[in-house]
Amino acid sequence: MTEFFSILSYEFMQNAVLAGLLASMVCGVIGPFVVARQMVFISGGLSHAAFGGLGIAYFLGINPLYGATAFVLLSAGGLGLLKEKTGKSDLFIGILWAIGMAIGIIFIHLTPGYTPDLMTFLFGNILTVPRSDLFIMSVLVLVVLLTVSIFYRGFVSIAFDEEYAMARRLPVRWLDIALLLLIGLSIITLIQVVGIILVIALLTIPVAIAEEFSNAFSNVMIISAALGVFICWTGLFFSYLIAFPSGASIIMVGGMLLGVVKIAKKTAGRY
Amino acid sequence: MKKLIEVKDLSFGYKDIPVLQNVDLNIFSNDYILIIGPNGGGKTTLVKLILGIITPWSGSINFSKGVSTRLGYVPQFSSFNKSFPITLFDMVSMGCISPKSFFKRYKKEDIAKTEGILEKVGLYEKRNENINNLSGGQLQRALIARSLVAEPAVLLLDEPTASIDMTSKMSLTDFLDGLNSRMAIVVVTHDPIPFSKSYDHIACINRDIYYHGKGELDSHVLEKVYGCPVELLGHGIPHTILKDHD
Repeated sequence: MTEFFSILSYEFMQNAVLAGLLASMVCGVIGPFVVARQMVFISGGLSHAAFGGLGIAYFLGINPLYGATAFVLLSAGGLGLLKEKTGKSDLFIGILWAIGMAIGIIFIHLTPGYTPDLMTFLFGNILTVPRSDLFIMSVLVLVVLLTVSIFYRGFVSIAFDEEYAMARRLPVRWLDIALLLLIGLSIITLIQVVGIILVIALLTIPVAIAEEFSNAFSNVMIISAALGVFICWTGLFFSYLIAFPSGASIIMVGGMLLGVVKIAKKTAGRY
Repeated sequence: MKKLIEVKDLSFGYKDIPVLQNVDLNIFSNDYILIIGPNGGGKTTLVKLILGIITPWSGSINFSKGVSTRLGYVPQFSSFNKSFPITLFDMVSMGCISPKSFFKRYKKEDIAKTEGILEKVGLYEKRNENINNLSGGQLQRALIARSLVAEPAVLLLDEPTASIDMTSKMSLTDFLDGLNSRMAIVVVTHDPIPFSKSYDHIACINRDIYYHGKGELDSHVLEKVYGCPVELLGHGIPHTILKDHD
């Protein structure tokens, strides 16, 4: 443990700790909406679509985060509008999922010279987050937190009972699109930490645990964020300790914690 | 009596299949209207059209001044997410939300109104509990409380007796009777018996709409309604004044 704290003096470790903190904030704030509104599949589609943006940005020689952000926001907005028009989104999500990945792979293949390791994008590497990306992540987190705090009542209303929100004449479609865009921004933040494939786990596992401990939506948000910090930092610690891939270690810590909590709750309920 | 809502020549369908055709309906202050008819006959669709949840193919829905924002709605249990982590207080306070306030914090007035209405429906003590912990009857009262917070001019209830026991049904109808002096009440139901003493008009819907006044629907008629499924599907409501529809 002492050794772990001593390596906190390294910049890469400080960056990793901060990245985990930022990721946990969006997990806590956006995760409960993803779970309540059953948007897990959409979130998966958006995170995989981000790979298209990453690939194009690499090809053009710009920061991959910019490419991913633009791609995810366009995809989220497009999905929202299509859902509004057709009432369906599953088909489009599936297409977006696959085409996003295909575009990313093609552009990374076309990039001359050094080809970045695909595994880094797919499974994340919190230990390689640079300071400049932390700044972008902070801006994204700030946008997410501010927007949710302003439209909190509207978002909760559509998540709980969309029909009632319509009956109250709320702009349900616009709130839905706004929520999709926020999920997109959160995914960009989380990709840095756990990668494209594991993003969904970080949006859902802390919420699944938090729901065991709270009746109120706002409390689920706070507990999810706190659990996110615990999961990210513990995963980071184990990843360093036993030289495991960081993204996978973080998710495994979350998964094990969820298992322990569920078993403990069930056992406690028996007595 | 003041006319609050005028539904004129309204038609609507899903895809190309018409569900409602040329429906007219007037709702006056203090009306107590039951809407009955077979499954798929368009009862819930009519309520959703009035609430603006769906848009009609043709026809119009006109509201007298200020009524369009004062519609109370009690949905079916299946329309919302029952496993949602929300306290009873937070759910009921959602009734205060409006297009002008969904981006603002709750005002002290909203909180006071919510607490007052929870006391009125006898659920104040349970305000901090999750809605999952409520019984069917309590949840129904909570949904009514949510719709009442906004002080509606018209209260529309969709199958309010579907998931509650007989005692809860009776206390629900008593409660609605008490509200009727302050607002018009429209109930969509498969189970008109608990409301038999209260209603003024019955609207039978099966794509078209037919009206009857009080007293025209007695227990004998109801027996026929729910004992003759063939006629129910074919016409909407088989009853003793069937001929009046032709």
